[in-house]
Amino acid sequence: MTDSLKLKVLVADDSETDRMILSAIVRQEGHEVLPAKNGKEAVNIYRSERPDIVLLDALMPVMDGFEAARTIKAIAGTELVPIIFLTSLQDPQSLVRSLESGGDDFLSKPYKRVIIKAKLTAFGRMRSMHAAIQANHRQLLIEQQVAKRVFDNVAHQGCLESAGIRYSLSPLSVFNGDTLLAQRRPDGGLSIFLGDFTGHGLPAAIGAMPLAETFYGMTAKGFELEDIVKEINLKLNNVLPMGVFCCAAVAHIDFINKSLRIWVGGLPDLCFWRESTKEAVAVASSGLPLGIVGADKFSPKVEQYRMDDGDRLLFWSDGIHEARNSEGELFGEERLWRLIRGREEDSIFDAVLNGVNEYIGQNDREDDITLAEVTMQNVDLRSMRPLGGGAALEGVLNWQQSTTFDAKSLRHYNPLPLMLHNLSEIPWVRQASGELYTMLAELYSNALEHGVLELDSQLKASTEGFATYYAEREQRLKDLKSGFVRISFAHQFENDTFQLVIEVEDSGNGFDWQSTLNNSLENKKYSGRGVPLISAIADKVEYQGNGNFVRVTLRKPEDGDSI
Amino acid sequence: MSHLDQALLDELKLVLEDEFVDLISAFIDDSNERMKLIRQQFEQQDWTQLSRTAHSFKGSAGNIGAQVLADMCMALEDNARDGNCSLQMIEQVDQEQASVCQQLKIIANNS
Repeated sequence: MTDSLKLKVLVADDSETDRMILSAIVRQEGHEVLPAKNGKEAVNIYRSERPDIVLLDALMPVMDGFEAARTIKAIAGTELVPIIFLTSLQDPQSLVRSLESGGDDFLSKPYKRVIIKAKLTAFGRMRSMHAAIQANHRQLLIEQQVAKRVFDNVAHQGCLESAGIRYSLSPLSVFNGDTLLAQRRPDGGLSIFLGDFTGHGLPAAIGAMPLAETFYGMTAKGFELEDIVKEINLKLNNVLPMGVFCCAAVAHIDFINKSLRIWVGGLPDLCFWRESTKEAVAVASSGLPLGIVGADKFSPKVEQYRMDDGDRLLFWSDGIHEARNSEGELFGEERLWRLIRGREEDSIFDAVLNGVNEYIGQNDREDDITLAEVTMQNVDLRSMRPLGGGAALEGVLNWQQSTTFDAKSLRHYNPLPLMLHNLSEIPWVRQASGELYTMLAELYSNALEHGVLELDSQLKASTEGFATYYAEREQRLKDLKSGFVRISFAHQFENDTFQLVIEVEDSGNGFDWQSTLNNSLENKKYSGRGVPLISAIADKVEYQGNGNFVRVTLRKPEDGDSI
Repeated sequence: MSHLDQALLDELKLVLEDEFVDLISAFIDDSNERMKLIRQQFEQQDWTQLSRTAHSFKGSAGNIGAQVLADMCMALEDNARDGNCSLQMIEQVDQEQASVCQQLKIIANNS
C-alpha cells in the first residue's frame, strides 16, 4: 500500500471489543485509526484530525451515530467525508434513518474483513477523485483570477471615467461576455465600444483581448470608425472559434463638430435621446455581429447624427432584456422602451437602472446588467491640450514631404492616421498631436468635402440637412472619378524657432475665404469650413487664390506653453 | 467448542496479534457487565433499554464468533422490544454467556 492511499479512518463504537476488532482490521489494511467511544468524541476528533473516512456505530451513549453524522457533515462543508454506519440494525427504517442523517453506506456486524477492505478502497478512491476535482476547481478559480487581471490590463475600460459618461458594469463582466471600452480620439472626441460575446466564462472573455488592443490602438491613432470596426471584425473572425462572435455597438462622439457616428451589429436597438425635442430615437442594428464573416463580406454601415449639447446615447447589452422578475418573466425590449419614453426622472440612465432593478426585485441580478450613457457636452478645446514643450531631443530638423491623393485613394482611404504618424516623428509636434489631428482633420475634410466633392457646408445647419449632407457625401465619394487632395508638410528652423508648415490644396473651386475668416470661434455653427477652429490652433493661416490652397503655420511653443 | 466460530477466531488472532488476549479479556469483562445490566433492566422492566443492551451485545458476540450467543441476544432484543421477555430467556443467555467466556479463556491461555 502506497502512502497516497493510506487513509485516516475514524472508528467510533462504544463496544470496546468491536472497536478493537475493527481498528485492527483497518490498521492491517495499512490505514491509520482514530478510535472514539461515542458520537461526541467522534465529532471532536473529526474537528481536530480531519479523518478521510468515518466509521460510526449507530447506537452509542452521549451522542448517537445519527447526530454525530449530521454534525460531521456540517463541519465538512464541501469536503467529501464518506460516513459508513456500523450496524447490526436490520429494520429498513433504521437503515433509511442512517442514510438521511448523512451516512453514505453500511457495514454490518459481524464484520467481514474482505468487505471492510473493499469498502475502504472504494471510498478512498472516491475521496481522492473528489479531492482531484476540487483541486482542479481551485486551480480553475486561480486561473480565472489571473486571467481577469490580464484582461483588466489589456481590456481596461480606458477613459470610461471621463465626464459625460455614466455606466453600470459587473466587475466580472468580461466573464459574462460583456465588454465596455472608451478611448479618446486624437481630436479629443470619444469612441465607445460595447460588445456582447456569445457564451459565458473564459471562452466568452478570450475575444476581448484582441478586440481591446485593436480598438484602443486604432482609436488613439485617429482611424475612422468604419476602419476600426472592419479591423476588429477581421481579428475576431481569425481568432474566434465557430459559433463564438461578438454583438457590438461602436460610437464616435465628435465634440467639435457635435456629431455622433455609430455602427450597431447584432445588438438590440440602442437609444439616441434628443434633448431639444425630448425624442427617443431607436438606433437599429445594421449589420452582422463581429467575427462571423471575413473581411470580403463585411462592410459596416455607419449612421450619422447631429448631436447637440445635452443629447445622449444609451447603450445596453441584452442582459437588460433578459432580466427576470420573481415570476421568471423577462423584462423585454418593449418594457424597456416604454420605460424610457414614459419615465418621470430626468435621467434615462437612472430610470432604466432603477426600473430594471425594481423589476427583478429580490432576484439580485444587478451585476449582469451592462448599461452606459454618453452625453454631448460643450468641451473647451483648450482643456484637452496636453502640456507642450520640454523635450530634449529635437528630432529631425529640416524635412518636407508632399503627398497627393487621387480620386481612387480618396474613395477608399483615410490618410489622417498615416499623416499624423509621420508628423509624430517630431517631438514637439508629437506632444501636440491632439490639436494637430483636429486641425488636419478639418483641413482634410474641407479639401475633400467642400473642395473635391463640392458639398455645401450650410446644409449641416439643420438636423435633416445634417443627414442629407452625409448621405450626399457618401454618394459623391462613391461616384468620384477625378480630383485630388495634396497635403504637404515642411519642418523648418526659422526666426530662432522651429515651425511646421502644412499646405493643403484641392482640385475644387475654392470658397470666399475672406468673409469666412472674419467669423470667430464662438460664432461657429457646425459649418463654415472649421476656419475659426483652425485659426484658434494655428499661429498663421493663409488662403491663396480662390481658396483651394491653404497654408497653416505652427511654431514650436516656448517651454511650458502649449501651441 | 461448537458454540464458537473457530475460523473467525483464528482470523482475529492473525489480525490482532498480541492484542488478541486483550480482546478476549475485554469481551469477558464487557459481557459480564452486560449481563448485570440486562438483569437490572429486567427487574426495572425497562424494555427499551433492555432491547438496546441486547442489540449491542448481539453485535459484539457476533464479531467474536459467538454466533449462538448472538442469536439468543437477537431473540431477547426482539422480545424485549415487544415487552414480552421472560426471566427464563435471560437465564438462557446467561448460561450461554458463561459457557462462551469459559471457552474463550481456554483459547486465550493457549495462545
